[in-house]
Amino acid sequence: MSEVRDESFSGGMKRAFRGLQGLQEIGVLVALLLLCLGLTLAAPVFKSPGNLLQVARQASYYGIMAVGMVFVISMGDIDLSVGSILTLTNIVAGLALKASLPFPVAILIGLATGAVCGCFNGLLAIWLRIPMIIVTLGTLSIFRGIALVLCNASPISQFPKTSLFFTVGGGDILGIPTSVVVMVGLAVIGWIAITRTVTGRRIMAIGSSPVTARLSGIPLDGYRVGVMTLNGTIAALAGVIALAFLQSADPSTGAGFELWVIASVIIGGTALSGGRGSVPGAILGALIIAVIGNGLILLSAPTYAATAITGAVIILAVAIDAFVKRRTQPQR
Amino acid sequence: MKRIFQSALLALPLLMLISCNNSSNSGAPPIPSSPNATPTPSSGKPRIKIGYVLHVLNDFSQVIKRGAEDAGKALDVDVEVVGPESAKATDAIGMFEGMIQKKKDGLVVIPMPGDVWVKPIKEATDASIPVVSANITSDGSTSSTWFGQDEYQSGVILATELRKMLEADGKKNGKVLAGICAPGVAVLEERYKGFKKGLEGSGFTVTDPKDVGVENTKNYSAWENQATANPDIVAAVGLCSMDIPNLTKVKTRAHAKWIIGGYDLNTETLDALKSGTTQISLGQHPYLQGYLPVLAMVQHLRDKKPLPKGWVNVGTEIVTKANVDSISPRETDRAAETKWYADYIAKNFSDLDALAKPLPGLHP
Repeated sequence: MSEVRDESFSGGMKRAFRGLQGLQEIGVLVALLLLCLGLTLAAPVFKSPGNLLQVARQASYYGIMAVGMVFVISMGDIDLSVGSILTLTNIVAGLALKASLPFPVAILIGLATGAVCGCFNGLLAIWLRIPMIIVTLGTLSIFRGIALVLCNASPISQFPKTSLFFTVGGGDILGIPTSVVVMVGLAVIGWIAITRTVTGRRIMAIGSSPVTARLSGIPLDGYRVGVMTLNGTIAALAGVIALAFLQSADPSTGAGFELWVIASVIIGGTALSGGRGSVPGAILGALIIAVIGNGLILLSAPTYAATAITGAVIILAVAIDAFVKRRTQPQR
Repeated sequence: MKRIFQSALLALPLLMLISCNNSSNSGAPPIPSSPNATPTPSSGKPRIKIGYVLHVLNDFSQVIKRGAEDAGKALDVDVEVVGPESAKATDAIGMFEGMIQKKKDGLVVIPMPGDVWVKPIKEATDASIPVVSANITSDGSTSSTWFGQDEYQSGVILATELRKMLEADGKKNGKVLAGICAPGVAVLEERYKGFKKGLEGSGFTVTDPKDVGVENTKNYSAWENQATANPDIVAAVGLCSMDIPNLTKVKTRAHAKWIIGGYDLNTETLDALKSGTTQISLGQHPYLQGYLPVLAMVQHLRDKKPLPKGWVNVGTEIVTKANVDSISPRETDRAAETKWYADYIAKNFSDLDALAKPLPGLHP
């Protein structure tokens, strides 16, 4: 029996609504839109294109790193060292530029440093049979300590700012900040990888049930090392982007990032217990965090209360996400 | 193979610990002997061991560390400088207590925040280890000697100079944006209070101190957001060392006209002063905050001189485009820094006890 399609406007709207209902990220999207709406009403400057691009760029550091973290958390692991990897790669790439190496070489050295750090995390967890959270708690200090030694706890600056690395890497592409372009590009690749490839499915399978995954013949150790290496490389990319934009490598860069990156991923709907992850959700989570930071300043929130307000708004955003999901998606 | 790798991994931290003991001071320039130094100890006596606990490891405290280590070399004593990677008082206190356990002959500490250091400092003095504080005071503690600048007064100086600049620019009133990287930290709050006081009676108003954070990207973003929220400001003032470099970038990218003031003399700040994007920065002579406490301690331990009672002001240095070229070589070249300060100390700090004044109190 053939189905009669409703081609009217209301039918189209209904189909679109049903499509939205099926979106895993619907809750966090609604939370972000509500935040933006509230801020637009309270502080009209919020909606200016300049400010919105600014917020997107501010979100890009967390956003880029959140893409890698989605893979890690979906697999049932966690990486507390990402902020320190960013710091170390920021410093290493800065030193490479200071040594007058061509900028593509400096970028490669930075990315390779991140890959080595991530791989080191993975190998350590497997060979020493230590939970990843403990390994990365340790390497958080190791990587930051190495960065401090390398730069003598002082910023590295005075680069030739006319190089493409700073003008394009730290600038715009067609009016969009380069870091935002990188974040969106990476998010698309990450989304395809996690939802449309065998590797992505296997990562989810490992996160859902490591035992079943092992019995199914998935090489767990290989995947864990691979994902941690990927995560380290992506954190390094954020470090290189931060260097290009801020035009200095600073040992404070990235300090405390791990919690905000993990928060972005969890706000975005990735399950802390593994088995479920959303790259678009993580980007939306990073945007929520950046919007809150921007909004508090535009609203002249009291300085000493701002930190508490940030926490409260994050909880509110997650509550909105949960509420919307309960209303729009069937209980499983 | 796997076992060998595992053993190597486990041995790595041990190797790192061992290498720490052999890594001190390689590659540093020669230190002129201190004109205030007491004679080198006779060979039979054990070397004096001084511990110096910083509040955090950053570019500012690195200069303090260099000053302390240079003093150690010039005075022929062992100086061990340690500090936590992030500004956590609990970590710094742990290091300080470790120094007590190591039975240092004297300790120097940057007690941030001052009130939580009262007990640890008492532990040291109860164990007959004299303690001198630097940069920050610890009111009510048993450390009665402090080397630093009057933070409140530095705020007044910054406001006065900034006001002169604005008025010279034809501005008689307007809003000044103030940022604080660590709200609640007494020295920064004192700077802010002094700054506010310095603008009293003028047509300029200062905002509440806005939290701009310490982490570099957060600090930049906070200043950027503040500039968007306050397009009508005539000046922006940061109370921490990372503020001027980030304010400079925000101002340049926004093609803004407001003037910038702040603290410390790192490379980027000096470049910003030279280019004219930033108008004023106050130096705190961190090198002296490292050198002079060690000097006082050595004079106390070796010559049995009493420690100076009260506050030895290391001075506040006003740096603008007019004098940045004369300051810059000292701040960017290690050997020039050592030589410049050796001469400066000989000229200005020959009698520490005579320079000591009553401790400045906190301002309401």
